[in-house]
Amino acid sequence: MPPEAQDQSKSSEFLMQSEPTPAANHSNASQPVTETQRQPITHYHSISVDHRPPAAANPTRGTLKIVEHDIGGKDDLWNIQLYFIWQPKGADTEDAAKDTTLAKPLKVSIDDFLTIRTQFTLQPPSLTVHLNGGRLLGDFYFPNGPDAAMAFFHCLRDHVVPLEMDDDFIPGDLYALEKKNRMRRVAPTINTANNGDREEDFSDLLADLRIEGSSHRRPRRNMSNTVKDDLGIMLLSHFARVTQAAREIGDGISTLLDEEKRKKELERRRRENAARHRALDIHAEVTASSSEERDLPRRLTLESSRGVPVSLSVWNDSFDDDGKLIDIQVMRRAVFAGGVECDARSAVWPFLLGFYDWKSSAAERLNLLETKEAEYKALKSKWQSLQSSAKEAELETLDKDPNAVNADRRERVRKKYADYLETEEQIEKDIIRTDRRVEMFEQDNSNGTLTMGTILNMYAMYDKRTTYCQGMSDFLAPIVYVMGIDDEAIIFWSFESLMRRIESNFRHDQSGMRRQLRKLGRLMEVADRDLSQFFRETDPDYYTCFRWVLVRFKREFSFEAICRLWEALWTKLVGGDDLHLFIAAALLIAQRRDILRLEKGAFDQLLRYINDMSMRIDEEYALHEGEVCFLKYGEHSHVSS
Amino acid sequence: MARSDDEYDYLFKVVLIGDAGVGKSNLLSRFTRNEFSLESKSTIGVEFATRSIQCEGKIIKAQIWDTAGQERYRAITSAYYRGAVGALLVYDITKKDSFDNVQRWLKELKDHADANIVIMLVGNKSDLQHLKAVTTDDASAFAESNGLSFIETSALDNSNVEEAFRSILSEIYRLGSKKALEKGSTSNFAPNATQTIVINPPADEGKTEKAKCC
Repeated sequence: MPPEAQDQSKSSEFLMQSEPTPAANHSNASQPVTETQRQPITHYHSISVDHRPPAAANPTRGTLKIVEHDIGGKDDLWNIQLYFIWQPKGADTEDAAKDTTLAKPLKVSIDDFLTIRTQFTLQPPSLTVHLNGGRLLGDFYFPNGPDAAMAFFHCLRDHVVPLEMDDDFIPGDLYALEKKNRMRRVAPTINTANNGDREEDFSDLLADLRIEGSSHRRPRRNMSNTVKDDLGIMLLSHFARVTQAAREIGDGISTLLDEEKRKKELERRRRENAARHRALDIHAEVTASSSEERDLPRRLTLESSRGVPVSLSVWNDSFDDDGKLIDIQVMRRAVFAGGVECDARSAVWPFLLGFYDWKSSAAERLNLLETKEAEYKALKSKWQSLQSSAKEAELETLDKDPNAVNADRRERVRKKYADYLETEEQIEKDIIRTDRRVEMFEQDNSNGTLTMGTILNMYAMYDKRTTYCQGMSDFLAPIVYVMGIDDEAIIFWSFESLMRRIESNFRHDQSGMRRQLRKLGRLMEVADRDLSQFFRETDPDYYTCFRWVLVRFKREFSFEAICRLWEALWTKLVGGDDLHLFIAAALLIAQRRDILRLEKGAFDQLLRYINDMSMRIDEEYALHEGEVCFLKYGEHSHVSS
Repeated sequence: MARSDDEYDYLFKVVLIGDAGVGKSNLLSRFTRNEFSLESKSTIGVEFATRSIQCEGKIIKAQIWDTAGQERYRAITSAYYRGAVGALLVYDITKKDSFDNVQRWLKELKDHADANIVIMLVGNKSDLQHLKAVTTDDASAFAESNGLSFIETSALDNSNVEEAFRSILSEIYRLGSKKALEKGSTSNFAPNATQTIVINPPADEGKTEKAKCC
C-alpha cells in the first residue's frame, strides 16, 4: 500500500515543484508579481538514497529530498508542510513511471512520521521509518556513508522534535517524532489594494480565527463561555506562533529576501504586532467577563489532533513469520500516540494488559492460552462449588430449627461462608451500577453484566489478599466490552494481569493510594510551587485527587474516551506505571488560575472544583499534557524516588 | 429550592454513611436536586452537594457529603468527618446485613467524628415493602436505645426524604444554636482547625436568585 500524505494534497504524484499554492493564486489575481508565489524550499537533497519498501527483499536506488511546501491560504501565516520525497532512479521518465516493477515514488508529510530508527554505524547507514498508526514506510539506505545520513537527520531535527526512546529489543537508536510549530519562511501575501485599510485586513484575519474556534468538533456544555475563552486562548497561541515566525524570519531567513521584501516584511511585522495586541486585549476582555459568570471549570481540549489509531491490518502486518512483533517499541509508541481501532482492540489489549508478552511468538501464545484456559476451567469449577455450598449454608441459616446443637453447627457454617457471601453481595450491587450506558451492561441480567459478576467473584476467590474492592468493576467493564463475553478465560487473565499492576490501589490499608498521592504531591512541588503551596494549606494529602488516581480517571471521561486513555496508559511507554500522576499534575496546572483563586484552606471548594472537571477534559489533551509533564519533570529525583 | 446560595444564616455539614449500595447517593441527589438515578454509579472518593432550607425563620444551608460505603476506603476518608455536625446513618430495609452493620458505623462515628454530632438512623428503600428484612419496630427500638432519631425513606418514590433531612437539620439548629458561630468563621478544613458548627461556603455556587419553596 503506497503511503499518502495526510493533508489535502493526497496524491502521491511527484509534481510539487511547479504546483502553485492557493495563496499564490490569490496574489496573482491582483498583483502579478512573483515574489509572493511561494516556491517550495528544499532543505535536504541527496541523489543517492535507496529504499526498501515493506516486505521487499532488496532496496531500489533513488533520491531523497525534504521539501518545505506552503499549503496556507490567504492570511494564513503558519500553515506549511514538510514533505519527505523519495523518487526511484529513472522514475522521471514516463516509461519508467509506468513500470510497476519499480518501487513507487513516495511523498509523505513528515508530520505523518511516528518514529525513525537510525542505524548509522552500519554499512551503508540506514534508517527505518514508521508512520502514524504504526505502518511501516520502509528502510532507507545511504550509500554515500554516515555523513549523508547525519545530514538528513540534522535536517529532520530542524522541523520535528525527536524524542529518544529506550529500546532493548532492536539495535540502533529509536526516536519518536513530535511535531514542531512551523512558520512560513517567506512573507505572506498581502493584498496591496487594501493597504490603505489595515483595519479590514485584520478583521478578516480575526474572522477566520473565529470560524476555526467555533467549529470545534466536540459538543460543549457551556457553549458561550468556553467558546469565548477558548477563542481567546487560541488567538493568543496563534499570535505567539506568528511572533515566532517573525523572529525566525528576522534571525535566519532574512538574507534570502531582497530589499523590497525586507520593507514588506517590516510592514507585515508591524501589522502583526498590532493584531497581536488587539488579540491580547480581546482575550483579557473575554477572560474578565467570563470569569465572573463561570460556574464550571474550563473545558480542556487539544487544538490539533494527535496520531492515527492502529488498525487491524497494520497490527496483523506487524508480526514476523514466527508471529513475533517485529518492532515492539514502535508498536507501543503507535498505540500511545493514536490508540487502537475498535475492531483491533480484542487482538491488541491482551498485550497491553499484560496477558501476552510483547516478545512472545505465536506458538508461545497458543501454548499460554491453552494452559490458561485449562487453569481457568479448574478455577471456575472450584468457584462454582464454593458458590453452591455458600448458598446452601445461607438457606440453612434461615431454617428456624430450635435444636441448640443444630443452631451451633449452623452458626459455624454461616461463619465459614460469611465472607464469601458478603463479597458476592457487594459485587452484585456494583456490577449493576457499572457503565450502564454501554449496551452490554444496560440490563441487570445481560450477558455482559453476568460475565462481570463471574470474573469478579472468581478473582475475589483467586486473590485472597485483595479479594473484591469497589472500583474493580470500573476496570473490568472495558475489558469485557473489548474482548466480548465469549473469551472468559482471556478476560479473566487479562484482568488478573492488570490487577497485578494496580493492586496497590485496593489494599486494605490503602497504603498504595497514599503512596501515589504522596508522589503526586512531590511532583507538584517540583512542577508548580504556588499550586503546591495551595494544596499544602488546603489538601496536603491530595485527597481531592483520590478518584482520579484510584480508577485512573475512569469517572472523568466517557467510556470510549477512557478506552483510548487507558490504551496509552497500559503501554507503560511514558512514565512507566505513573503516567496517571503526570496527567493529574498537568490537569491541575492547566486549571491553576482558577484553583489559586479558591479560598486557601477551603477543602470543600477545591473538592467541588476538581469533581466538576469531570467530563470536561479531552482525552488527547490529557495524554499530551501528561507526556509533556513527564518529559519536563519525570527524571526529577524527588518524583521518581 | 432556596434563595441564592450565598445568603444563609448557618451552614451545616452533614455526612451520609452506611454500607455500600444502601442508597446514600440517591438520597443526596433526591434532596439536593430532586433526582433519582436508576443508573447511578458506586461512589468513588468523596462528593458533596448543597441545598438551603428555612428553619424557624433562619436560612440553613446544608452541605451534604457522600462517600464510598466499602470498609476499605474508610482509612482514607476520615477527613470526611471533620467538621460534620450531623450524620445520616443509612441502611437498606431489604438487607439485614446493612442493618447489622449500623453498630460498626456508630463506632466509626465515635472514633472519628465530633462527640456532639447529631445522628439519625435512616432505613432506605421503603418502596420495597415486599422485600422488607428489617422491621420498623426493630429499627425503632434500636434507635431509641442508642439515642438516635429514626425514619424510613425511599429515595426512589421520594417518601420522607425531605422530612429526614429537615428533621436532622432543625435538630442540629436547635442543639447547636447556642454555640453556633455566625457565618464567616475560618474554615474547618485547615489541618489543625477546631470543630465548629459553621463552615465556609463553597465558592462556585450559582449566583442566580432561586425561588424559595417550602
